[in-house]
Amino acid sequence: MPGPFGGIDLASRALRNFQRALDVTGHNIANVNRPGYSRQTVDFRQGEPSFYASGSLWVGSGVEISNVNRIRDMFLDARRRDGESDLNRYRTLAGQLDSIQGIFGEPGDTGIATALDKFWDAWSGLASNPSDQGARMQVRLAGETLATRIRSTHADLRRLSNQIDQEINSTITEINSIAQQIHDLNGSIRRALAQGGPPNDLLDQRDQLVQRLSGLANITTADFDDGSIAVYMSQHTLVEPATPPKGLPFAYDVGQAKVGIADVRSGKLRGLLDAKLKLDGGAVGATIVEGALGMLDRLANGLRTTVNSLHKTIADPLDVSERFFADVPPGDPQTGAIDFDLEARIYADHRNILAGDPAKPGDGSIALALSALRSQSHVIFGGKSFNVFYQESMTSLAHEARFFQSKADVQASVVNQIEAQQLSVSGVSLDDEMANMLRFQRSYQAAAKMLTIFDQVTEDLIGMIRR
Amino acid sequence: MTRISTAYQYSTYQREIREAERRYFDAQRQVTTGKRLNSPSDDPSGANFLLGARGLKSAAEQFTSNLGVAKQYLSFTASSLDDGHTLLREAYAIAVQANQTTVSQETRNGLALQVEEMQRRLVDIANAQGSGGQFLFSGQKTSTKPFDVSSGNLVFSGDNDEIRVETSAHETLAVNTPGEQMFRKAYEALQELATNLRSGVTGSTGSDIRSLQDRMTDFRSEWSLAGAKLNRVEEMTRSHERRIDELVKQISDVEDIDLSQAILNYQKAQTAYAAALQVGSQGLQMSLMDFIR
Repeated sequence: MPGPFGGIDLASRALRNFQRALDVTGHNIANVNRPGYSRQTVDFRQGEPSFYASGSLWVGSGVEISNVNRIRDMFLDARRRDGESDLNRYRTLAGQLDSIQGIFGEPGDTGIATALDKFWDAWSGLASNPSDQGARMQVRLAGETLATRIRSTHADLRRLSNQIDQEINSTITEINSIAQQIHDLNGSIRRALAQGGPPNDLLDQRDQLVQRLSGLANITTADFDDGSIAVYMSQHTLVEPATPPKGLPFAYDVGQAKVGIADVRSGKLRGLLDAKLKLDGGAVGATIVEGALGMLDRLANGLRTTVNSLHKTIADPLDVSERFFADVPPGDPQTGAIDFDLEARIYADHRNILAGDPAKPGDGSIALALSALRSQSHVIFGGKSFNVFYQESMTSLAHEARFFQSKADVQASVVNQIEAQQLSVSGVSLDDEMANMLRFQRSYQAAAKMLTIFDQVTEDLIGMIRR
Repeated sequence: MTRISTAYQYSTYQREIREAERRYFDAQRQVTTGKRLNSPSDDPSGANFLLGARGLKSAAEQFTSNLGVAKQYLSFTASSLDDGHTLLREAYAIAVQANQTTVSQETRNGLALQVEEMQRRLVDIANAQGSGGQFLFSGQKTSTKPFDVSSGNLVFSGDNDEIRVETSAHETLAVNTPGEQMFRKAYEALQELATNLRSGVTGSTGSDIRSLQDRMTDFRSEWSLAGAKLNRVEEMTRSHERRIDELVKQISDVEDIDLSQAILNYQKAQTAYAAALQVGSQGLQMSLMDFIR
């Protein structure tokens, strides 16, 4: 049976609850710009009715707050995570391929293709005018330009490869640090849940971290009853509820796309590993993939072998005294693009460049044979000519860059769409909150009025007794 | 019906503005650089074509320059051969004149002196040099003076190898004329004429006339050959130049923008950008707050 002050209780409870509801509205408004924030709503429920014995009636006892909800669609979250993983893989790879293309600088007058053309042209010019020292100088300059371009392109690509290494390491560091933060949040959430309702803001923080992590690598999560989550990356368990987080090791295999024991399938980390493979090459399963650096090595070694084998008058194949490009002794493994240059004696005196038999200044046969290398096919390039080999490498690079760019674009619009849906569900609308604010303010005012009425009624009652 | 949250409204607006701005910037860049292709991935097959076409153009330009060398060589050779031919015609006139019985031995001796002088001139012609100082008739030994007279005999110290100019891919043209036989025979024919004139062997001067005619034919036919090669060189030069023009046009088609199209795109992008800014600045001003008192 309700006491005489039941009404005051009821009114003051209503005041308290509308105050809380206004607080939640204020919280929503305050966080309108915070990414990853989910709007919160208040669930009201009727208070326990009290039995009014004299009339055998149940009388309501006002309002209670049953829950403060976080409005969030878990299904959208999972899709967003997958989307972020793919998007970041393609975006990272496309960006790096763009850098590689930029280093090659094709098609342009400063690229290797032009230098290669001018090199053959210079030999053709010398062949047609073998006694002209100016034509010899042209050959020397064209050879020097070609060697310098191959060398500097190779050096720039190596620098990029080192940068990617650093970025892979810093990404692993970031993954490990996020794993630690998720682990810490797991603890806070577990404790908060044990005390009462869901700690919405901590949950938002954790969801936001998981989403960031999914942009870095392919991850899956599992929920536990105590509110904590586990985070897995392929075969590697990053976060488990009971034990401290296990970070990824700084050991990766580019060809297999693995970090430690874990397969890297997507995310920025995979994009970086992909880009590194494009640069350095590696063993993908049973096949050996050649990277851009390997392609330049092959180009440089091919030039050494073919040009040097023709640029000689001495029949002995072991004689190396007349070489045009510097090279290792016959039979040793060649050194590739890293130290590709002309022989010192060619630099010392361009008259050491052979157009033909030195005894016959009008003999252009050697220069002619070298000029003909332009269109000949070579075993070292899989039966292609120098120019076709280089051209095809550039074109396939361009095709790949375009392919991954368009994949990234498609993925970006997928993620945008999911994000729009997430914002539609979870985002704060200021107009909504304004309306709620009015609603709770008016309710508060009404409850306050109610309290004065009950107060008056009680006072009237007391007054009656006093009289 | 989708619920429109404030963050969604703003982020969508920001994205649209960014997108419109990017298109506007791209259009602007195309107009200002004049290039349609700034990176191979803009158009991979176009880039592939460009790399090939630039190579072909570079080679064609080199062949054109090689043909310039050939042209010089051939025209120097042709003019020397013409000089030789003129000289032999003079000798032929002397032989015909001396063949008449009325010519006195004294006159013949005088004519013999003239013929000997011609021999010296012939050696000079045989030692002709091209624009680069190279000897035209010494085969590949272009820095060796090919002909010398030693105790009345013509000594040849060049060789008979060809100087080949690369005129197009896989094609060469021999630009020098092997001189040894031609000049030696001419020299000997003049020698024989001089000897006959001095010894007064009038009966055999007839054979001088025939052999001089043969030598003139030698020079004439080598001269025509050089002329024919010159024509061929001209023709090939024109063909390479046509090819270069064609390639320049094709490269430009792939690499350069169509300016009127680009400007049109630029204006469209500008309008779209302005519209996006306008809509945003008006639409985002609306709020329930303005209506609550």
